[in-house]
Order: sequence, then C-alpha cells, then structure tokens
Amino acid sequence: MDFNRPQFLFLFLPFFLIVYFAADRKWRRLVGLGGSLLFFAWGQLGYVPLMIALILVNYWLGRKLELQRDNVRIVGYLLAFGIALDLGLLVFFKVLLSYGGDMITLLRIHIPRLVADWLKTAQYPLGISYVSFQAISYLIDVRRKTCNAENSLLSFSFYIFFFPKIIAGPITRYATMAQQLAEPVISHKEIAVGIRRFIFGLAKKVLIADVLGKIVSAAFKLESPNYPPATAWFVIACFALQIYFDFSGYSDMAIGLGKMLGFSLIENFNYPYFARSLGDFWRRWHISLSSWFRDYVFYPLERHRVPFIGQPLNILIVFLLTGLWHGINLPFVLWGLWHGLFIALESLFLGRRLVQAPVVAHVYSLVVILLGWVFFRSPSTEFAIQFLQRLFGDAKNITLLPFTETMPLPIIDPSVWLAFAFGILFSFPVVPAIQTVMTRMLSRYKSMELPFKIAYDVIALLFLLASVSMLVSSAFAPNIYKNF
Amino acid sequence: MKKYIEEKYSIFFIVIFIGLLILPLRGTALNIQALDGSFYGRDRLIALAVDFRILIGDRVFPKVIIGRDHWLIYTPENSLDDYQNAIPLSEGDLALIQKSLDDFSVHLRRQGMTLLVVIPPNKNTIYPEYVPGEIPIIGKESRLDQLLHYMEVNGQTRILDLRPALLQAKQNRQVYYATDTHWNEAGMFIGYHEIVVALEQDYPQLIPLPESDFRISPPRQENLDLAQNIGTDLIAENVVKFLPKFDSHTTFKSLALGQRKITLSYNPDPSLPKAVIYHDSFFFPIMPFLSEHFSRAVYIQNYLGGGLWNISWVEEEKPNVVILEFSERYLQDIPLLLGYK
Repeated sequence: MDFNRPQFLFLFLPFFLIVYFAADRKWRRLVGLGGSLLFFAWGQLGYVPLMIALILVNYWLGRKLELQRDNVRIVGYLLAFGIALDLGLLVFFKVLLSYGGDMITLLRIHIPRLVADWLKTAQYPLGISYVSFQAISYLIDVRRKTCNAENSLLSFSFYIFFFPKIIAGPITRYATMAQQLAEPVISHKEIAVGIRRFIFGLAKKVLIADVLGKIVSAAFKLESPNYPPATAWFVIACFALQIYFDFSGYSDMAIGLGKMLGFSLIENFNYPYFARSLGDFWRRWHISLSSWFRDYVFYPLERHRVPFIGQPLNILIVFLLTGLWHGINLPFVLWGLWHGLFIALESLFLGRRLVQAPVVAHVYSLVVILLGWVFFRSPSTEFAIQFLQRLFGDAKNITLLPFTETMPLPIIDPSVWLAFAFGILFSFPVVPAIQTVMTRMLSRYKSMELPFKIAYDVIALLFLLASVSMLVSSAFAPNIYKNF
Repeated sequence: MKKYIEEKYSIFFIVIFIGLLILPLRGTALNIQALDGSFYGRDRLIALAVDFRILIGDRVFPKVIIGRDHWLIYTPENSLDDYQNAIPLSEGDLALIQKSLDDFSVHLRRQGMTLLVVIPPNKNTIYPEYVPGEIPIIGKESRLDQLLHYMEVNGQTRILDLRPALLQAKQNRQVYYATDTHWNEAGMFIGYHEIVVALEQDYPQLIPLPESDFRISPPRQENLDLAQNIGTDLIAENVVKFLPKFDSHTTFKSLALGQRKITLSYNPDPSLPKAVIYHDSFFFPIMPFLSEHFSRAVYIQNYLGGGLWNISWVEEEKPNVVILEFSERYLQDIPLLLGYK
C-alpha cells in the first residue's frame, strides 16, 4: 500500500485512526502494530513471515547483547551476526531482484519455474532498506549502551513495523522512540498538527513532484537523451525538484501520521537546495540516512584514520556506501563518489574558500548537486555521460522521434511550469518566513488567532481536495471503446 | 478559555478530516480491490483537476492532446504515429497485407462474391492543421499511401480510398468531430455515398440516396469520446443526425455474442443483394444508410482484435457483397483479422 492510493486514504487511514483513537491507552501499541502489519501485508502478504522472522531475530539479539555486555568476544560475534543478517538481507534483495535473472541466464543455472517466475515479478520487501538500517542501529546502540534493549516484543515489533515510516523513512533510531513506544500519548492538538503536516506532504508529492515527474520520466525513458541542451537543463532541474518534493513529501506524511499516532519522528529535510556546500547539503538532505552513516560508519572509520589521506578516504568510503544503499549499480556508485569527492575537497581546502563567498558557494553547490542527479536518475552510465554532454552544450545527433515515444515532450504544459515555479519557491525557506511574520502579527492581534487558524485549515483541506483530485485524474485514461 | 476553544477546534478539525476521507465510501459496495477505480465522487474529482488543467492551458493528457482550436487529438493506437509517418510498413508487412487481402478476395471471387475494402482515414489525415505545431512530420509517406501504392503494383483487391472525397468535402463543411476520433454525420454520409458508388460497378441497381432525402436534426450538445476520455464535461460539441424523409422499411436486430455485437438488417426488397460487413466503430452510424441497399446485411465487429470473426459468416450467408472496413490506424491488423498472424 502507498500513502497516495485511494485504498489508503479513504479506507485504511480513517478506519485505522478511528480504532486507534478509540482504543484504550494500553491497547494502542497493539492496535498500532496490527494496523502496521495490515498496511505491510496489503500488497506484500508473502513477505510478512520474513519480516516477523527479522523482528524476532533482532529482538533476541538485542536482549542477548544486553545480557552479554561484559563478554566482549560473544558480544562481537552477536553483533557481527546481526549486522551480517540485516545487511545481508538488504544486499540479497537488491542483488537478486536487480541481477538475479541475468545471473541465472549467464551462469546457465537451472532453477524451478516457480522461482524463475517469482524473480520476474518480485518486488523489494516494503521498506527493507529502512528496516534493515534501523535494526542495525538498534543492535549497535544496545552494544554501545546508548540505549537499553527493548523488553517488550510488542514495542520492538511496533518500532520496526511502524507503518508511517516504513515506505520512505525517516530511519528512526530506537533510542528516540523508546520513551514514546512505552505509552504513545495522543493529544487533539498534536493530531491536528499531524493532519496538516500529512496534507501538505501529500500536496508536495502530488501537486509538485508527480507533475514534474511526467517530464522527467519521458526524458529518461528514451534510449539516449535526444533533446537540446536547454531541455536537458530543464529536465534535470525538474528532477531535482521532483525528488526533493517526492521524498520530503513522503517524510512530511510520515511525520504527520506519526504525530497523529502520538510519535515524534525526526525531521529528514531542511531546505537542502539552500545549502552552501556539499557538506551542508548532506546536513539538510535525507538527514536520517546521512546521520546514520556518520554515526555508524564514518566515526568508527575516523577512529582508525589512515594518516594524511585518511579523512578524504573515509569520506569516499561513506559516500560509496551511500550510493550502494540507493541501488547496487554503477550510476548510483558514481553518484555517491561524486558527492564524496566534493565533500573530501571541501574537507581539504575548498570549504574554507566557500565560506568567504556565499553566493559562489550557493551556485557551486547547486551545480554540483544537479550534475550529480544525472548519475542518480540515468538508467545507465552511458546515458548519464551523454546527458552530461548535452548539459555542456552538445546539440549533435538529435533526431525526430514519434510523439508517442517522447510524450509529453516537447510540449511542456502550463501545469508543469506552475509546479516548477512553486517547486523553486518552496525549495527556499519561504514557509518559515511567512510563519514568522504571521506569528509576529498574531502576537499583536490576538483576537485574529482563531480566524487565522480556520483560514489556514480551510486552505489545508483545499490542498487535500486538489491533491486527491489530481491523484485520481492522473491515472484516468479509459478505453475509448468502453461504450461500444 | 483559549485552551478550551483550541481543544474543541482541534476536535472539530479532526472530525472534518476523517469525515472527508470516509465520504468517498458513500454508496460504494465495499470491494476493496476495486476501490481505487470506483468511489463516490471520483468522476467529480477527476473533472475538477482536468477542468483546471484545461483552464490554464494544459494540452497533454494520457491518451489525448488538445490541438489547435481545442480539437482533441487521439494519441495511441498509431493514430498520431500515422500523422507523423513515424512507423512505416516494411516490405514484408506490405507483402503480407497484400497476400492476406488477395487470398481472401480470390476465395470470395471463386464463389461469385464481391469484396470491397474500405479504409476510413484517421482524423489527423483529413485535419492535419489541428495537430499542435510541436509535433513534426517525420516520414515522407503515410502507411496508407504505402499500402495503396503497393497494391496498385502488386495486388488485385479493390481498396476504397475515402481521403479524396473527404478532403474535398471538408472545404465546405466539417466532416469529423472536433472532440471524437470518428467522422461526423456529414463525413459518414460521404463515406456511405462513396461505398455505394463503388459497388454500383458490379450491382447497377445500387444507387446512393441523395442527401436531399434526409433532413438534419436539431443540434444537440454531446460529450463525445475523446472529451469523455480526458474526463471533462467542459468540452461538448454539437451533434446532428441525418434523418430520412422517406419511410424506411429496413428493420434491425442485434445479437450480443460474448463481448461482441452482431447487427442484422432486413429489407423487404428481394432484388437487392445480400452483404456481410466486417467493421470497426466508424461503421456504426453508417449502418442505417447502407442497409437500405441490401435485402439482408450482417454487420460483424472486428475491432476487438483476434482472427477475423468469423469467416464462417461468409460461408453461411453466401452474400453477394463482402465489405471489409477498418480505419487507417488499424492497417497493420489486416493480416491478423484475416488469420495470417
């Protein structure tokens, strides 16, 4: 299931919320876990046993790690086993579903037809990248005594399965949720705050990301980037906005849903395109992932830093892994290394120079980020190189193609321009600025507080209406012969 | 007091939110799997987004683009590819179409039957001026031109090219709907006229009815197929019908067989020939007109793909005339329909 499907919006969410709110405090975790299981099982029933097994093993490992804290050797084995298991599962699915079919053909391995058919249609277990990283962080934190192992299997299962964050994070540390897991506290005010956050997250995804996504998909599904340099720049700018509004929209929805259920999830984005260096970008982009790599990979590596090239090397290792986390293929590796390279340069000398010229720093960051997205989005390295050539002015070998292959390009609808303009506008901290002005104004005219709140909520509900309307209309294309 | 109001207001907002989410389930039989595609207010929601998009000037929709003067252009099923001459038929394709048509034609001729192949052109072929300027023409020759040239040199089946008559007629009046893939009543009447004239060579008793035998109905605003496909009722078009001034003695009977529909027509005049007509959606409005010229006609829909459904109708009916009609965008399906693929 997905947050933007009518099944979720009109059926799962309202009924789950009603049951959750109506449930007694002590039953809420159970209701939450039941709902999360249902959410997961809706489209991926087959993976439920696997996820339950993953939870049980990690729960047991957590308990064992705590009990054996003084036995360094045993703790080392247990931790290594846990990390290998969680990471292995992630790598297994990433490799198997990306390359399994090819490998079987290449090595001429005979596999049962049932398995071969499954390989063709199988999907990643929902949220496996997030679940495995959360489980690893939990085990390491128990080992480091940052937190205690969870005694309650119910709480631990709810932590792993918690449906708001299972699709796209944020990767939540157990320590930040432990208190809340014990007894989720809900308040009407926080529920209302969560609803508003959810609605604006949905709007970001549907009204901006999805609209721009049509242009991006059309441009990257071609065999080669068969468009002039200006179009290539527009396309990559669209992608930069699409991925930001899509991902941060999901994070907003997750944080909003979390608030409705009485949980505070960590913020995952902080206006990343406002960054003045690549290092700054990673403090603002997918914060839960970058901080995970910082705490569990970079810092341990730094403790064993190789002299002179040590830090740049460690940065490159971290970003190589960041690339691989997104997908095991060369374009993602190149994307990771591209970011790693510039952050390494910033750590050596570039960072100091950038501080002296903020405007240059901002332009530099945007250009490096945009060029990096080319690797991230391209279906192959060859495509990425051709795309970069287009960006640098190569307008050769552009052929006329059937519109049905390039659709909607070369036509760019006003709705795309509108989404593009709003995308740029809201990539900068416009909303906090407005909020500051409004707060200042309301502190002067206190009687306006309620009317303002009502107006704000009417706007939020209109955004909900517009988002749902856009959502259903974008999938609407009936067969023209249905009437005959 | 402030806290109390805030609390009550939050509850009110939560109730409104959950209520709004549940509202689409109103009157819906709770079929969870089908919920994404059918819930209360879905059409209204779609229309809301689409109307807004049209209002701000959007032109590209999943299967339709809005062309000049708000003419709607159908994009899939080779319709736009044909306009761009983007998917030429290979020598092998042409040879296969020629063989399948000629074999069918010879088979019918041996039994004393006449075959007429009719190809209603795509809307974009007759009205290329309404296609957005950003969409270029790629190839030099259309698939229909390719086929007609090939058949002229290598084939022996008669293919009725309706383009000249329709292009001529459009100088005086609109012959296709602006918001539908099909020809309008005027375009259909030209098609009907050309078909009967083509058959007149073999059956001199067939003389097309003059337009003066019909009166034009008052216009009615309708939401036609491409407008429906976008999901808007903002774009409606005037539709008129040609109604006979004479008393027609032709009667019709429809048979639903599985997914398909067969229409039979009967005319009391036994001197008229019998016909079996394989057709797609272009022929629905032509049936009442054409049926005036056959003592018995069997209309069989072929546009749902699969083999020609069903060749045994020819053997059973033993008609004098067999008409094979498919629109320009389905050219590549001829061998499939005749059982050659």
